[in-house]
Amino acid sequence: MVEDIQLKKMNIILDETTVLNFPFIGKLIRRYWFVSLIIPLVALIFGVVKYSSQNTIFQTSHAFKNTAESASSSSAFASILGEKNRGLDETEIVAIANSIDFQFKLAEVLMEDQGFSNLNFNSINAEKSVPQSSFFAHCGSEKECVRRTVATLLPSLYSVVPDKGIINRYLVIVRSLDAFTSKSLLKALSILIESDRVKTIQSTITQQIKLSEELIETKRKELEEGDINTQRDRYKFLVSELEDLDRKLNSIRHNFFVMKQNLSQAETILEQTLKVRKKGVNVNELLKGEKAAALELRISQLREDLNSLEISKGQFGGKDQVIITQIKEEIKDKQKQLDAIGAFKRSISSVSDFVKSKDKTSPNQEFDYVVLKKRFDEMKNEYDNMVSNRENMVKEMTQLENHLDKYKPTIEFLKLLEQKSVQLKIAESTVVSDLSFDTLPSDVASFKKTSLGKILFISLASGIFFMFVAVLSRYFMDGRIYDEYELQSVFKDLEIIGNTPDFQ
Amino acid sequence: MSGLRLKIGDLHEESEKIEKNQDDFDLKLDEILGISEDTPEVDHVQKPRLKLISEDAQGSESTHSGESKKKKVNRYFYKVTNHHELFKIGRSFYKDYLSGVKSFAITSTGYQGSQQNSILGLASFFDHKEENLKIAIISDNLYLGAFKDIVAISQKHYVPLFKNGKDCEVVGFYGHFDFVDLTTLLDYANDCETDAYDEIFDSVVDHYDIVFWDVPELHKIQKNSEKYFPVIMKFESLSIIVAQSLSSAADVEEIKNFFLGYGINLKGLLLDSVQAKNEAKVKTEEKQASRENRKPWWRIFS
Repeated sequence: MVEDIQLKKMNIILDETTVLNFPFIGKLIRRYWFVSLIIPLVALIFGVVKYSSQNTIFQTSHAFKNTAESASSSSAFASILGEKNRGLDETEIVAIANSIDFQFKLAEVLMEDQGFSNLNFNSINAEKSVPQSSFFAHCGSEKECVRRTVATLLPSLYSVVPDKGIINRYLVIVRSLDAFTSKSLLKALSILIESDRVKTIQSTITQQIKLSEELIETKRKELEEGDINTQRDRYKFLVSELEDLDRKLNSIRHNFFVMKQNLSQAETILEQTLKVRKKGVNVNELLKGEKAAALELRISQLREDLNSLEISKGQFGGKDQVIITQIKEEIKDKQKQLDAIGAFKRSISSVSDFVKSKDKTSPNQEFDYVVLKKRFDEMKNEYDNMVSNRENMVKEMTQLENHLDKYKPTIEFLKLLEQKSVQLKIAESTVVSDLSFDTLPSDVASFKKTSLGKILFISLASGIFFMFVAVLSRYFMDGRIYDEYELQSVFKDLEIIGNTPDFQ
Repeated sequence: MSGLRLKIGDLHEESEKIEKNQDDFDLKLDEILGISEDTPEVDHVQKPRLKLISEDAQGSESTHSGESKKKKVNRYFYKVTNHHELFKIGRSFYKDYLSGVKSFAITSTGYQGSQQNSILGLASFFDHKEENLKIAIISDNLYLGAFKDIVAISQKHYVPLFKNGKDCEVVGFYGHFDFVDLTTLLDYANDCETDAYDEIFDSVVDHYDIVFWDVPELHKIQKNSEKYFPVIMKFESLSIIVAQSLSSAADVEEIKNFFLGYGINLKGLLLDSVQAKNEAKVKTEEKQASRENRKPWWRIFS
């Protein structure tokens, strides 16, 4: 029977369209007004108490950028060396500050700071703030114990998180119960993250240098075993010798060919001279030649006179023209005579001079030729020797080249290794952190862990929820009937006749 | 015009004379029986106050009473605060009466005062609705609650209800309705000598035109069900009064199931919104009284 009534009550609360019968629930809230009022009120008071009992948190942050993808010097060197320079990813950056090593280093840095004794290591969630000395009470004067304790306390005070707004940007956030602690811790964190990163990169490069040098040593030994240095030196020597030889050869070759040409010319001249002396000259042709020469001279003199007269024309009146005409006629006459002799006959005059001169010079030419011939023979011998030497050197070089070719990959590899080693050494000495911090950290902000508005909202919402639960529970436990609607709902099979009369 | 009437038109004007600014529906008693307003030992929670009409109003009523042959005009009245509701439930019961039902039982989850008020109101409605109706109100609490004052100003007379020709003592209220003590009837029915058992209840129902049963509390009936069985069997219609904010659904369900088990026709439910107010009032008064009687905290040693 009771179950039936509870089911009927449940049916009253539920509604076909709105799931819950809100007007009836409103009625229940008004009916059990005390519960409806007290529960949200208690929840609100609880929220306010909770808010006021929260610790004041002092937060400060320092942003840094991961420059691994951009052009830092270390990354640039690394890329020169052909290494894959991916830098740190988000997870690695966030995890930097979480490593045990880092926490111990941070503890050490903080302990060395003068303000260490003023630091507040209480967690922001601590219900009760305790003095610093109580954290280290069990350590006594043992520094290592203090360091270990500090290292275990620190992780709850800071965090490294990605900046939601900017890619590759991160924030070191410090939250503590004291502004001084927040500032000091943030400062130590910023310095340590950067220096730790530099050390990490440096140690990586040092390792690479060590490996490179070991490899260089191995390759060098390998080359020494193949006597490659001696052969390479010999090859280098031959190369330089060959260059000298080529230079000399070029010089001699030029002289040799000039001399050869001179010798040939001298030989021809001597031969012709001897021919001319042997053959002799015709007298008539010689006379004609002399006459032609005299005519040419006369024509030339007349033309000079004519030119002079043409220039000074008019100074002598009408006589000028007569003289010019006479000169012109004489020139024409002389020209006719010269044309009658003919051109070939003119060479005869020079031939006679030539024969005469050859008679005089022929003994000298023979001597010169003999001298030239002797010098040429000497030079030829020298030239032939040098060519032969060159051939021998080239042959030897080819043999050496073949031998060196076998070791060429090893040599090239060694060269690269040596280059790399040098570059790594430069990189090691110039390495900078790829995590670059902003110049200034943020100001210290103080706040409660949960804001008043949020707490009030949550407490009110939970208060309302519990009020609903309480009101509904109260309704189900309350067997009484409060109004006609409820009566009609519970006893659907019975008619509500009306209200009983009331008398005054 | 009948003596105990539901005054709507002329009585309304008279009511205005009696109390200014009062337009409530009044129940009037026909005749003055010398009972003053300050009737002693009246249960103020359960029972309405019986009031005395003024002289002018009485003269006016006397004129009306001259029209009635049977019932006398009296100077007592109850003011009904929710006359609309009374008419509403009265019409419903009257409809049943017209369809042949004459034995109406009223029960509740232990609120006898509310039962008596309802019966009194309904009896007055029927009395007003039809003249010359013989109405009986049967209750085992005639000298308590709402009936107490009326029974006190009523006159005893005898009605031939018993089998052996003996008359049964009833209390007649100015010819409007008779109050019959249920205990007397039960005693008679259970008397081995009379050998009547249920005949007496037949006689009562037969004798009166309308019978209102003020049903005893359920636990009493359950405790002595053989005794009450003939009574229950006379109920032609049962109405359950549900006291708002007081009655539990489980109790109502229990009553309903109990009487349905006897095959009684359940007419419906009457909602009593007054009971809770009265109880709250009583509680407040009790608190106030206890506060007044309590010693001040600074007099703890006296």
